[in-house]
Order: sequence, then C-alpha cells, then structure tokens
Amino acid sequence: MIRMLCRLLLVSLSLMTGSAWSADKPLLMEGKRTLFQRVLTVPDARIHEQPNAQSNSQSAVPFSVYYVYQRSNDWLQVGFDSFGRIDGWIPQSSTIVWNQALTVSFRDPQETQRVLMFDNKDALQKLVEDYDQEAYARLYQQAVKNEPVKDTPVIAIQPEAHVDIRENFYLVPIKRHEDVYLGNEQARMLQIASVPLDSGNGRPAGRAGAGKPREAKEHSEYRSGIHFVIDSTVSMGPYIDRTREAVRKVYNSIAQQGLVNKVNFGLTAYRDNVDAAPGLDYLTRTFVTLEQGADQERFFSLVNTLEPSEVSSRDYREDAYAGIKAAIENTNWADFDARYIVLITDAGPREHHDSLGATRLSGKALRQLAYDKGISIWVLHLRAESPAADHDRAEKLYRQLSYYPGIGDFYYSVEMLDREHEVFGNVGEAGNTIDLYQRKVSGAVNEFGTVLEVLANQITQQVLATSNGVLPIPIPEQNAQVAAEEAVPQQLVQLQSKVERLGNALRMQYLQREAGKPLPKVFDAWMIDRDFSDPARSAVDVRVLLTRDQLSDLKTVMQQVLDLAEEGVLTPSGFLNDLKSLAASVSRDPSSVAGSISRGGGNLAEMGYMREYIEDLPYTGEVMNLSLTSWEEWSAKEQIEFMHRLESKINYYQALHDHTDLWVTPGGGPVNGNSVFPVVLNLLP
Amino acid sequence: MAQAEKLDGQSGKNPLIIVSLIVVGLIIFIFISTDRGGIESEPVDLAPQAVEKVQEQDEGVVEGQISRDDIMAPPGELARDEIRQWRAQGAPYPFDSIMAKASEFASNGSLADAHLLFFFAAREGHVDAMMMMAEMSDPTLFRADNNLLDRANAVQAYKWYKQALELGFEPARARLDNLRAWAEAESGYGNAEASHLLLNFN
Repeated sequence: MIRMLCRLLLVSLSLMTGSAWSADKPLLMEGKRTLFQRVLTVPDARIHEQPNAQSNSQSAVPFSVYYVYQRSNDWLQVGFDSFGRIDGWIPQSSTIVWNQALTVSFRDPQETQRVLMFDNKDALQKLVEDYDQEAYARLYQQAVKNEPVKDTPVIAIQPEAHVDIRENFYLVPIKRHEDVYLGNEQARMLQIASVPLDSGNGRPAGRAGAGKPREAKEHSEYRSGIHFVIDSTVSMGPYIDRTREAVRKVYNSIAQQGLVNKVNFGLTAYRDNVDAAPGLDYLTRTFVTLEQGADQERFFSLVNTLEPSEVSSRDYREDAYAGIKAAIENTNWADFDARYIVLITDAGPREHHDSLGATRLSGKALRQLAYDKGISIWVLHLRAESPAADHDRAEKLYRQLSYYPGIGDFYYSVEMLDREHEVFGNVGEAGNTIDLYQRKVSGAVNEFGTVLEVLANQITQQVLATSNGVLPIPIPEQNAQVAAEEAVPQQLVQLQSKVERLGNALRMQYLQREAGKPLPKVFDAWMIDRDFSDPARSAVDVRVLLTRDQLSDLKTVMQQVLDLAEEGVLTPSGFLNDLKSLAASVSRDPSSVAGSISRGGGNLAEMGYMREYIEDLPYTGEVMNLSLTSWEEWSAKEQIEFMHRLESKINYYQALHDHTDLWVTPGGGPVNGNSVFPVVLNLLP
Repeated sequence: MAQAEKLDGQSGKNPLIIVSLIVVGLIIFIFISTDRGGIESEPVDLAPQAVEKVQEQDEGVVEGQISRDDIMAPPGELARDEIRQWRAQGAPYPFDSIMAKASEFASNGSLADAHLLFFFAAREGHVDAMMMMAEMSDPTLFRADNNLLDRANAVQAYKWYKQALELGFEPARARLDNLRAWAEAESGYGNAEASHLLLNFN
C-alpha cells in the first residue's frame, strides 16, 4: 500500500512538473555548450497550454524573448527563463528565430539622419556600392515628408522621436548582417524585423516643433539675415584679414546673384573672459547690427574697425558660445525669413562646465536656442598650427553645434599652415547645396579660397532659395500653442515613445500603405548602420542582448586578467605564463586551453578566455584578439594603454551590472541572472 | 680660426670632435629625454654606440647630463629596477622616496618611469600617488605635455580619486564632483566614455 502511494506520488509529481517544469534546460543551439535557442514573439502571438490551437491561451507581449525547451511539429514549448520554468506552447509561425540576440538601437534623430528601411537588399546594396548620396537624399526627403511615391524601395523610416533604449527598452532584432563599405567607412547592412506604425494615423510628418507654413508673402519680400560671429582674440591676429576676406567673399557672392538687397549682414566679435585676462577689453561686441548691415559701405567700414586683441586670453579656448548667444539674442531676427550665423574662429569653445565660460550653456543647449529661432549656425574653423591647439575637440563640438536635424552639419575647416597665410584646407563634409536637403561632398581642395568659395556659394544658394520663396529651414511659430507644447516637452516625448513602442517592439513609420490592405503585423527590412550623408557617424548601435549572469561572468574573467596585467606592467616577465595558468581555470574547455598553450596561442581568445556568448558575434575584440606573445617587448606605454582599455570595459560591466534599473526581466519580476541588457558590441572585450 | 686654436690649446683635442660630441649628445638627449610615443626602441638601439663613442673621446662632455645606464635602459626599466629593490626590502615602502624618485623621473622627461612609480605607489595605497595618477588622467585637467598618456582617461581618474576619498582624503571629493560635471556635460554630446562613467555616479 505504501509502495503504491509512493508510486502515485511520483506519477503526480511527474505530471505536475510536466506542465510547468518539463525540462531542466532549454534546447542548446547547434554546436554550443551553454547557449540556448531563443525566439521572439510577433504581435498577436498567443501562448497556449498545449501544442494545439484550441487549447487555452493568453496573448504574448510583442517581441518578448523566450527560450525554446521543446519542438513538436510546428510548435515550440517556451519559457521566459533558462531555469526550467515553462510558460506554454507557441506556433513557430508566431515567432522570429533569434539565437544571436543581436539588436539595433537608434541614435537621437537630432544628432544624425533618421534611418531608412528598404524592402529588399538589392536596392540598398546598389545605393551603398554606388555611394549614391543624391539618390539616398531624395528617398530620405520623400520619406520624411511622407510623400506617396510609386515603386519606392523604402518601406519604413526610423521614428521621428528619440526613444532612449536605456529608459524605454525595445528590440529591433537583427536577422542577418553583412559588412560593406560606405564611401571609405566600414559599415554593416542589417536585415531587421520590425513592427509598423501607420504613418497615416500618426502625427503629421515633419519635425516636431518645426514651424507652420508662413503666411502668404510675395517671393520678392523674402529676406535673409546673415550675422557673422568673429573670434577677435590675439591668436586670430594673423588671420584677421582672412576673416575679412571671408566676410567679403560671402558678400560678393551674394551681390553677384543680384541678391544684396535681399540680405542684411551683421557682425559680432567675441573674445574671452575679461576677468581672467582684463586686457581683452570685451567679451562680445556687436560691430554691425543686421539693420546697419543693409548698407554695404557702412557694413564694411564698421567691419574694418575689427582688430584682434593685444593680450592673450587665459588659454587656447575662447568663449565662442558667448559670441553666438549675443548674436542670437541681440539681433532682431523677426524681419528675416532665413537666418544664419557664421562663426569664424581658430579656437575651441568654452563648454558650460568651463568656469571661464560666460554662457553656462552646453553646445546642445545653444544649438537649441538657435534652432528655436530658426537660425542655422555655420562654422568656419581655422586650424592654425599650435602645440596648444585642441582642434579635434573643437571640431567635434562645432560639428555638433552646427548640426541641423535632417540636414547635417555646417562645419568647414581650413588648415592654416603658418602665419604667412600659406594655407590649404579641405571642405567640411556638410556640403549642403541648392535646396539644403541635397548634400554634396566635395573633394579635397588645397586652398583657403576654395573652402571659402564653397561656404560662400552655399550661403548664396540659401539666400537664392529664400528669395524664390523656398525657406530652407523652417522657423518655429512663436505662438501660445507652441509655447504650451514647449512647456511640456518631456510629457510629449514620453507619450510619443509610448505610441512608437508596441510591447518590446519599436514601431517604424511605415510608408508602403496600400488602400484597403491592412498593415503587416511584422515586416523585414534592410538598413545601413551609418549616416548615409556622413558615413563617419553611426546611425545606430548594434547590440547584443546579454543576461546579467553572462555580464557578471565576463566581468569576473576580465577582472582576473586585469589583475595580472597590473602586475605584468610592473614585472613584465611573468605575465604571459600567469595568463596561461589562469586560462586553465577560467576556460570553458580546459583541454583546448592546453592545446592552445602548446601551440603558442597568442591572444586571450586563443588562450581560452573567449566566452561562448560572444564568440560568434560580428565584432573584433580589441582586447580578446590582441596578440600578447610579445608583451615583454611592448613599451611600458603600450602595456599601460592595454591595461586602461581593459579596465574601462570592466568598469562599465561592473557599473552596468550594479544598475538594476537598467535590466529587463523577461516576463516581468525582479532582476535576476536571466535579466537582460543590450550591450553595444564595441564594448565587448 | 683663432677661436679654434684657442680651444685646441685648452683641451688638446680637435674642436670638431668636441662640436660633434656636443651635437651627438644633444641628439641623444632629444631622443631619450622624453619617452612618449612609440620611439622607445630607437634610442635603445642607437644609444650604446653613441655613448661608447662619446666616452672613448671625451667622457666629460656628456657627464652630468645623462648617464650611460639611463640611455641604455628602455623606458620604464629604471622604475622597474627600483620597484624590484623596494619589493625585496619589503613593506612598508618608503613612499616619500618613491614619490621623490618619480618626480625626478618626470622632471627628466622619463615619463614611463615616472608613471610606473606613481602607479606602484598608488597601487600600494599611497594617497598622494593616487591623486597624481588621477590628475594625470583627469579630462578636466589633462595636459599632453609631460604626460606618458596621449589622452585623458576618465575611468582612471575616477578610480584613483575614489580610492583616495575612501582613504579619507577629502579634496578628492571636489575632484569627483568636477569629474561628474564633466561627464554630465560630455554625455549630452554623445560622448560614450562620459556616459559610461556617469553610471558610476548614479
């Protein structure tokens, strides 16, 4: 009797576990020892109690990640975690295979172009191979304006509002990827799966906050205002004539088109913190207002009084932001339909955390200030040779400052080789032409004058377009409604991100609507991971979804390597042997470690430090793949730099691991070892 | 010519040799006096021959400026020798001597040796060395001249300030605040290093 009861108990237990704990571990991926098969659910997918459509079911959150525990015909038994908890069965057709767990996160559309998605690979590949910026720009404008175009290969466009993946977790799963070159930059073509947002039902196309159409006005009445902001510190002394030449060039270019009476010019000079260097005389000074600048003679006579300071400022940076802010705030822009500030400088700006800066504004905030008034900022950066110069930093900041959403940056640089004005330079890659939306990249040219020519021509084209009634840059309407919207931008952004997410899916503005046809639940598309108009910029980050346990493992292993590297910097001779000894204890496969050591495996990956969850990913690990066999011959500096690179990554892993608010637990619940975070590929070791 | 005869009379040697020696000495000094960048192997290869030649002809010309050992040792080796000796003597380490030696290396342009000694002392818990390591890497204070590193490293700065603060060195707190302000500003520009550093503060 007791034996029978025991058997009954065992059978009951096995039945109970059969529904909820049918297997200990999910199915392994082929050829892997620790990686499990994973799928994503599509919208409207349902999780069933049994592998048949009639069984009880509940809806699954779109793009939820599930582990696969069993396969039965076309059904998958799935669970949210890998600890053996089963959630039910799902038809295979309601899932997307997602073993590599690669996903995309989009950059802020205010920083880079929105990404176009193509319905077939060939169309995108041709554009990439031809590097056809003009064609891409045309498609881009059609997509941004939501224009119905027949036979367009563009199926969707990245949402207009920025959704920060760290604040609002989303997945745009990558199904395939291919390495390509876009211009001279290495790039990736990605096939993604996404969920459509009907752009016809969404908010109107066009940037939020952009202006309404202006009231009807005769074309001949359209006017442009160009305000120069000039660095007049002592370092500009040798170039002040060049600066005047730049101003005159722009002026003459516009005059040649017969547009002078449609343009007013102004000029503000700036220096730096007068308290830190009292001899500077002023921080900003308006030499010519836009009103005064309607008259050519007056304008140039006032410009000719511009002189560089006689004393040096505190360091190589100058307060360019103060100059721009003065030009924005002290100018009556209301009378002008197209508004430009042209900054000419040889030094980097003072950022808002710089105690010598007067504005306390970040470049981003300053750009917004200009943007709110419909002003575009153009920068002519004279890169003078100087050991103290911080041109790279300055370039980065000025590119950001002059960036206009959906158009690109208006940054131009010229190398100033010496003080005899022997100059050559190259054209900044902005190269915006006739209608501002068509970007053109000019080849390198070797003359200051040529750079200037390009700048002047492009401003002239803007003025010409304006005089013809085409406003290149919208001017935000300053009315109560807009003011009210501005008062609650945060709520608006949050609302937008909710609209644009469906479960864990980020919904793309879908462009291929056909009357009477419903939108697809999910669609595949091809995209490029770089800004097509500026391939040096990433348009997206490719990420891998790591579990918290995996990140913890990665951190632990790399920390042990770092400990050895620290000692290896002080005593290089023992480092390699110590590393190999450690490999045997941290490797997933000690036998292969022994083999790799005997073969003289030279990098961490070969020594056995590579983790299975990152080994097949499309990235080259700067730490994992670096040969360490000649460590003893490395200079101390090289060793220290290696150590720092490694430590920066470890610091990130640790900080990320500890930030439990950043982790998402599939299926909900508290953060645990199965919680996930999408880690950017280039942050892997 | 008169000047040459005068010199010849004083030293009893060909003045051209002396001029050559000075030039060679200067070249060696230029190559050896700073060890930033990837030129470490070049002076090591060139230096022994140059020094031997100098010493054969007139040891006095370079004496006091640069020693043979200094020239022959790859950047960092002198510091490693020092560390070896201090370790052999065992803890507690003479941090004042270590810091003085590191400063001496730094003022001589032996940046790798200086860096290694500061690093050693910081790793062993010396607060002044921690602050030195932090400031050398701090993006708000970074100076490329007289620094082994080509660029700032916010994580290194954070690490050493934090350790100094944990050991009770209060001025490190203001530095950390400053670093945080930098990270907040830079992350606004999409500076990934700054964004990652911010995770340590929040």
